[in-house]
Amino acid sequence: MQAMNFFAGLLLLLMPEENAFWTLVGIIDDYFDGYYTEEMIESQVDQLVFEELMRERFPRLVNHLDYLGVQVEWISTPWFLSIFVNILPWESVLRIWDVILFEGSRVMLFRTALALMELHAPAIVTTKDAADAITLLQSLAGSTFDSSQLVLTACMGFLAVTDDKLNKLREKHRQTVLMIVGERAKGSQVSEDSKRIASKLYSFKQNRGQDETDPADDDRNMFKLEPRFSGLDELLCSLNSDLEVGTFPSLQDQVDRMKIELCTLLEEKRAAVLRAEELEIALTELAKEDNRQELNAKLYIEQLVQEVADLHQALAVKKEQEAAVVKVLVHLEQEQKVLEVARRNAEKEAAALREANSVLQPRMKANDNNTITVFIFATGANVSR
Amino acid sequence: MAHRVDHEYEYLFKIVLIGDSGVGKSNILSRYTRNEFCLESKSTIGVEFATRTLQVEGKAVKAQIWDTAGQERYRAITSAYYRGAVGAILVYDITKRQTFDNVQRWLRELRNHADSNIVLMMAGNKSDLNHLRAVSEQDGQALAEKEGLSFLETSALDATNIQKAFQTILTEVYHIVSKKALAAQEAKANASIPGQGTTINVAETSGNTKKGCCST
Repeated sequence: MQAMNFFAGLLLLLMPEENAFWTLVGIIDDYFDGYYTEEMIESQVDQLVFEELMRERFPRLVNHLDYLGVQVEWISTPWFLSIFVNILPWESVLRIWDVILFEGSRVMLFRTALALMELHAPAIVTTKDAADAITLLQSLAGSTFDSSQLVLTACMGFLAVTDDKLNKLREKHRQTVLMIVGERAKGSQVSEDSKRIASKLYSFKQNRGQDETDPADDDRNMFKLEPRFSGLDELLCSLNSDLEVGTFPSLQDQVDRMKIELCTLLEEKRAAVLRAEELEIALTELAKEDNRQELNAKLYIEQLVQEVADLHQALAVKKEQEAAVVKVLVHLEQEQKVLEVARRNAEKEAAALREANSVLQPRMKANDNNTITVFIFATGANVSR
Repeated sequence: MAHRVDHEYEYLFKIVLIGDSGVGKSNILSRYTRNEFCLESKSTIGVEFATRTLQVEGKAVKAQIWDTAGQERYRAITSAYYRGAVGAILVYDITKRQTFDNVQRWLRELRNHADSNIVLMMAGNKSDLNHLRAVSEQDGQALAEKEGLSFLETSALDATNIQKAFQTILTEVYHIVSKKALAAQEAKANASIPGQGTTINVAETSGNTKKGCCST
């Protein structure tokens, strides 16, 4: 459908055909379910939601648009449907797409649209007719080159616009849209009926043609046809308003005018209060974030200190163990020394014993020889005898 | 021709351009208001506008032309644009039979959602593509007569009949409105004559309607 071609084109600029196709499918199914369908239900729901948000945030602007006969959705429908492609300058489009794809929801659409309205509201409230207002807004959107300002205003300025809030509003408005769509469907069935009305209209037109030729009949016909004239009457009054304004400068008119002025002022005040609240929320949010960071830092420091203490303790234990090991070593050394001494003593003793042995051995030999000699002597004596 | 004299006009007429997608509504608008034609124009989403001030029987008339998205599914949204329109140009493409067949649906759409007094005109666009013609001029003329519409074949590309089409519809609107203004003045004059209760009511009704449209 028209509008999808815009961002399909964007995707084709960035990736090959098949990837672009599947990305398109993903975007439509995941982020824009029910948007690009035959009835465009969700798109219409979102428009009603956006209009309500606009009334809440920018009552003065919406009042002005109401006065000009411009419906907010005339402007915002193309914005939402094309996801800002061909609406904003490329850089802004891509930055907004980044946020949408990152957040994975349509919230950014609302925030961006609100931001655009906020940025350009001062210019819009000076316009004097419907076409001017819409044309101006279209051209202003197209020249929103400061993408950073836009994204910042969108993200920080409208923090209160969340998915939860949008979903609640969507629930509320979906009924209305479904009802209208249902009625339209019914309307096309009973087109026969409208054809009859149409033929009446044309016979009336022909009557009027005759009136022109016969002015005497004019008055009579006019009153007969009065109800059908009411539409044109309205138109006529708007056309001739210049002529008619100021014909009846009554007190009632003045009171009315002042009432209207009062209403506008009250609404302006409301808008200002809302804006202030918004900013306050943003500020507290920032402060909270700050606090959170400080707290985190403190926690981290504590953790570090704890770790250092742990390490110290571990070190002490290690030292103790070392000392113990050293003691054991010393002990072993001493034992070794003792053993050494013992060994030397033993060696000395062994040497002494060997010495004694060597002393005793010759003596023993001598003893033996003596015995042998004695024996020989004895035997010799015996032999000689 | 286009006098840029904003706020110096006596009448402001809202005209809507309707018809199937791709018949050339946006180019008719750009040809008429800016004398431009673009072969690669992008599809219209929602609504676009242009204005042009012209002379109709010596009066300055500002035509505020609303160009709408033609695609079927946009009708739910675009029907809101008809509000307050005093004229509509229903465009079809002479090289695409389907767009001509859908004219009936567009007429139904208008009768359901637009003011019942809206002035209608049918335009068979792309008359420069005569060699690809799928709808004869006679067919167009016959349908226009049957439905009571004025009819022209136009070409935004070579500017044939574009001026004439707008001049025709704006003149017709002007006749109706000025006649109505005359009638209203007469009604007011009658209101000053005592003893005619009904006439006074008429004057009051018109007064109330005026307030209504200013507050909207």
